[in-house]
Amino acid sequence: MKKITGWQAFVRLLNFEIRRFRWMLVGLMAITAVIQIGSLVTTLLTKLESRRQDRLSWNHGAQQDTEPQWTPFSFVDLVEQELLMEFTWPILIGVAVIGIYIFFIWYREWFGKDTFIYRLLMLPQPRFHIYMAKGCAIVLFTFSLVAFQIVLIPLEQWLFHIILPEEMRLPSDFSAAVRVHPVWEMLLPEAADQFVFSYGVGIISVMVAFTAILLERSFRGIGIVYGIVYAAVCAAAMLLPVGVLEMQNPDAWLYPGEILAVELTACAVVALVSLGFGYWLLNRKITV
Amino acid sequence: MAGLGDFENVVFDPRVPVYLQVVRHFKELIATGRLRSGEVIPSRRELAAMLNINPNTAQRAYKEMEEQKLIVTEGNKESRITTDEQVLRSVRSELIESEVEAFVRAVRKIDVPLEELIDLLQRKYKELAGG
Amino acid sequence: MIELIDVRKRYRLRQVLKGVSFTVRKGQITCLIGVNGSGKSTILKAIMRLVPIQEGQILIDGKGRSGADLYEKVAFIPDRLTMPPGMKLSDAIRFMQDYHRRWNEARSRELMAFFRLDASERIGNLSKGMAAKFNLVLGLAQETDYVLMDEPFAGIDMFSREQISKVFTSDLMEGRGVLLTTHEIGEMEPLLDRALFLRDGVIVRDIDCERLRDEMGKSVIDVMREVYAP
Repeated sequence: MKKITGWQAFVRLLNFEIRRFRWMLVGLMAITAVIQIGSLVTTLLTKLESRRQDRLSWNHGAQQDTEPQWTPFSFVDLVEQELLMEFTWPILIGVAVIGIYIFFIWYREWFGKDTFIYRLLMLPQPRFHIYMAKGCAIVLFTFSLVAFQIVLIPLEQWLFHIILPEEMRLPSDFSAAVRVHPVWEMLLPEAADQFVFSYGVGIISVMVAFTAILLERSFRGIGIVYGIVYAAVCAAAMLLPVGVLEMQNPDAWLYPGEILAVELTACAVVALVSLGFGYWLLNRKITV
Repeated sequence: MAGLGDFENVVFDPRVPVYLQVVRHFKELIATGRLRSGEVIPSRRELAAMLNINPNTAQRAYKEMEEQKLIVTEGNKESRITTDEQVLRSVRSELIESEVEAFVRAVRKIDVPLEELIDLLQRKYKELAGG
Repeated sequence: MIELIDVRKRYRLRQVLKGVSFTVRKGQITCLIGVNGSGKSTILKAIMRLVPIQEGQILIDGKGRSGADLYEKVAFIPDRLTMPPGMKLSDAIRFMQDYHRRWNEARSRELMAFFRLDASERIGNLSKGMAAKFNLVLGLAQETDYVLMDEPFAGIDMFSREQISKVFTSDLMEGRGVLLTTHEIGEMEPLLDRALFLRDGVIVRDIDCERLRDEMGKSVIDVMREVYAP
């Protein structure tokens, strides 16, 4: 009888969750690449083509005397002026898919007549591993999509560089590109603390969602009410410090630093309560 | 010699203890000569599988047969039918007696004089022996 | 042994189990009998911590059940396959092997061969009989002390039933405590050591089958008629 350590068991479960979603992930990356690169290349080629047409008609004695001017533009300008929507769509699709999967990753275990949840709950390892594996999987999927986008941007800049002739180009750098696109800026905030905060809140939201799901699955009928109420309470707890306290004028009761401390505490409490509650539900209340 | 067929397709009466029915089955096999003196019989597990019964029941049947001295088991090895002729004969007579008793009980309900009965018996015996 | 002591369970507003108590011993085949919807499946699921109970105790070998321990001592074969339909049989076996220390690979192959199942087939393509048999493979290849089976014969063709009942008489069950549920006894009768009759949320009769036959000349089916007569 070989010994399987608790850690090994968790990693296998995590690997299992990742494998189940891998084609979806690849698909999302493919969609992003195809739409972004496709729209970029198409736009550039169109511009090149119309410039060529202009040149031709000018060569054959057109109205202007001077050579048509083509103001050079940078990658950043192009994105800002013409490709905002095209570059945004795939990201929105990715967000929607991950958002849905936060719920589907649990509910899929109850689908059909061969409910897989039986097997998961009967694994000889702490049940909380299931919660952790699903949570970590979601986080990993999100980060991998973000990382993929990060890799795509320089690639797109490089394509820009090689497709357009030099006279049409202006240089631009990575962070300028990110800043000009509102969604990119949200995904990749420059300030480290903003990054930690955004993704931190994101991760805590996943915990809240999971616990709400477990509430619904434990109490069925009324469970959906419990779940929604729980999510609402957590959302309020996380939004209130910033919302309420900051709405006060500058002569507020607390300093900004203190407001931040309250906010962080609220988030930490919500996180811990969600994890603890989820643990308890999974071990004591869950029903197949 | 007892073959596989002797232990398959045995139908059990659900109102009679299964282990007793197994013992009875063995006695029938002994009485009809399908199981010879000293012959090796299947292990408890094999028997349970062949008869489609609970291995515990097979175990109990063997225990009962050992107590009745019908079979002998040497240590952990195979079990054999006893070589004790007296036991074997008494099995035969026990079976015959119980069959006859059942017959007599059934037939007594019909009012027939004994000589006619014996006559009928002789005729039927000859008839079925020929066939 | 598995002990249930005054177990009570409510589902929504209905009290399903109203104080169930019984024992399942190793080396015995115990049958839990009850009409449809009487709570037999619920009892098995409660033992496996798949549904919560409100009151009462369930002890395994005298101790309370704690996560990992429970699933290494008791294997559950539910009334459905509980594996994703897209999975191949071999993948499902790999899955069990990866997580269960007590998985006996050799035994799983034996059982696959005995049931004539093709490991490269997909779960979704199995007929009802094959699915039931594969379910048994998944449960019995684990070397646990106890096996719980929920309606192992429901809706199965006769030939598959014969194959499945062969398992009960083989050495696979040796020394194990088996608890199975059914609402029809049929060919199972000579195989049972004990019969538990569930009615109205409690065990109304707890019977040693051979003693029943010996002392009262009755069959388990006779008792069923008595207990469940309308």
